[in-house]
Amino acid sequence: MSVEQRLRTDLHAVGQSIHPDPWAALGEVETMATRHQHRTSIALTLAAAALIAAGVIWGPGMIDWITGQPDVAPVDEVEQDDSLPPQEPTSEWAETLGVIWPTPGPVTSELSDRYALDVMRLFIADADDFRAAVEAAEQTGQAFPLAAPGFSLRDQAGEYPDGYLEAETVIGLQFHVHDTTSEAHSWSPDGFESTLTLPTGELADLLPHHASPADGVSYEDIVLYACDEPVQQLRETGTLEWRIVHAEITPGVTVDEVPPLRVDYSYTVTQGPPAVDGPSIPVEEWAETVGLTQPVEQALIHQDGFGVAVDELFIASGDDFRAVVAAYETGEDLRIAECMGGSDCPDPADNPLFGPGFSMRGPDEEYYAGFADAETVIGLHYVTINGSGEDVTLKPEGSTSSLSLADGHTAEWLPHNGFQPGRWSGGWHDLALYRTDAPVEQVRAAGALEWLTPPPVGAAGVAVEDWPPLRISYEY
Amino acid sequence: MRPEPDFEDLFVEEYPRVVRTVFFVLQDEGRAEEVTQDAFVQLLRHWAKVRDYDRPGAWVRRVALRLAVKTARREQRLVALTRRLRPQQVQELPVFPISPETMAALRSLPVKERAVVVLHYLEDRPVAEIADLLDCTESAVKMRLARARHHLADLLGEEVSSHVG
Repeated sequence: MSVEQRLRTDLHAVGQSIHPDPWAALGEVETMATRHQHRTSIALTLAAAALIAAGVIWGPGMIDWITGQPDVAPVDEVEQDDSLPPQEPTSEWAETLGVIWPTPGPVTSELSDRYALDVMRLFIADADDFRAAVEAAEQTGQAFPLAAPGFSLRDQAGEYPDGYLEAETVIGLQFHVHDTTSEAHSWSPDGFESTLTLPTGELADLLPHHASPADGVSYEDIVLYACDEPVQQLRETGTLEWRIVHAEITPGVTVDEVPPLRVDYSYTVTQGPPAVDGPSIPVEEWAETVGLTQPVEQALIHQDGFGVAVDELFIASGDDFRAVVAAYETGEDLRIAECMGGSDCPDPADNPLFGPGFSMRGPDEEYYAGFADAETVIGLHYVTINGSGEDVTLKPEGSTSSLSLADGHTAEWLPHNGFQPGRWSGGWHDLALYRTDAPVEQVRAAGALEWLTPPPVGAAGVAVEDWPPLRISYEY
Repeated sequence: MRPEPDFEDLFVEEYPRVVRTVFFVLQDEGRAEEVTQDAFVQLLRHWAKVRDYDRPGAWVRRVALRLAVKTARREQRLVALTRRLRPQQVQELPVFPISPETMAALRSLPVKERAVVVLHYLEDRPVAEIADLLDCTESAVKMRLARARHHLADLLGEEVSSHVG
């Protein structure tokens, strides 16, 4: 038999053994496209608001169009399934409730020698928004995002907990508990007695809820608190102190008086430039505009089974970087919509700079602090590797990382969205951004940077020593 | 975003085919479905325009293949870096119940060669069409096909037909 005959026979045999269900997949595709459409709607609303503020456009119905977003976006259209992990919120849901990560990333605590807990995300929400989200989930029967399956605030009599209806503000912490020996358990998602101390020193009241027991090596849920402080007072920069007094995490296993977890957070953002009024830079020119290049020598550090490598970097003037971000925000759809087909048709995989979900805007859609006035922006495309064989909790590079310039100055970390912390057994790619006041020509001419980034894991039971600086050399 | 009936028709017809093609590039059925769904999300978003093309199915196939090649390359790079970190760690490779030798041999090819082989021998696509789908020249496709054939023939202990280059 020739190799050609063998390939035809074998490939067809294997291919015929694969039977994907198109109808199930169609629902997935529909949901994902809807999510993307929501994000696009927000960007368009912001762009229109900027134009109106500048007196550029006006017309009947414009205000309705801009303010016509529902108070609480519908949660994803999937049926409740108790075997599923907590559901991810839509971007609008997350924005309405103010879902953010702790600063600089997930916070880890050892509950005991064997069990560990990570605070993954938090929100500080206007209680009216939160109650609307709860009612929406109840009315539609859909899962409550971030919470364990089967989430309900009502007790057996159908009543809400004390303080829920009167609360001014609701605070939620999404946490992840796991057994460091990787043994499976039947977890008790609603077995926590705990207190939360606000940045003001006041104690918030626990809002107990119920959820379905879950089997596995870990589980995720939220813990909720109510308080009387106005939401805007708390939505600045601060620290929440979560003290677990008693928890039965799995039948017969209790933990008591866990040292308090300090959860730092920041909602502080500054006003950035409005979205540009049209695509200014074709995607094909983004890499050239920001000066995307590769290190002269391979930039790689590894230790304890974990490693990080920088495979590309750019050093751009702040204006060029902001222009590319603006083009990304407004031009991507147009770029594809203008395509008439054929081999010149660009596709989404051609984006040379930004990964899925990339955004320089915070939960309130304002640009993150430091973006609008950066003189020079440095970007590092890096890949992180987990070769430890452990399933651990990952962190983004975060604000504790820093970049040393050749002249001794330090570039500051510049936050962005797009990276989702979570469980991690392999590796991932991301973009780390930094800003500096040094002129771009000076930084480019220096030829080298040193990146000091913490190891990307914080799970109990996995010891990773601090990494040495990673030297990155380049030529412009 | 509710798909229109003609999108649904195309989806039901093309989705399984694209998944199969992408599967051979990624060698992972779950990942193949994810990548294919990402491509169809793009198609749904741009359906108002793409529906008027002569072959909207080719558009989504092109997007899916490019995403698959990109994904496979990234995963290969991860494997290589992980191997550097933990040389003693043995990577568990998937074993396929049907034609395991051929699947293992296919996995040893560079990603674009793998894609070329699948498009040619599974889908019977001519060189010009493969070049269009993978955004490369026809001579590049011919070169990759020839190289892959000889490499696979060595691994599988088969002969290369004399009438192909």
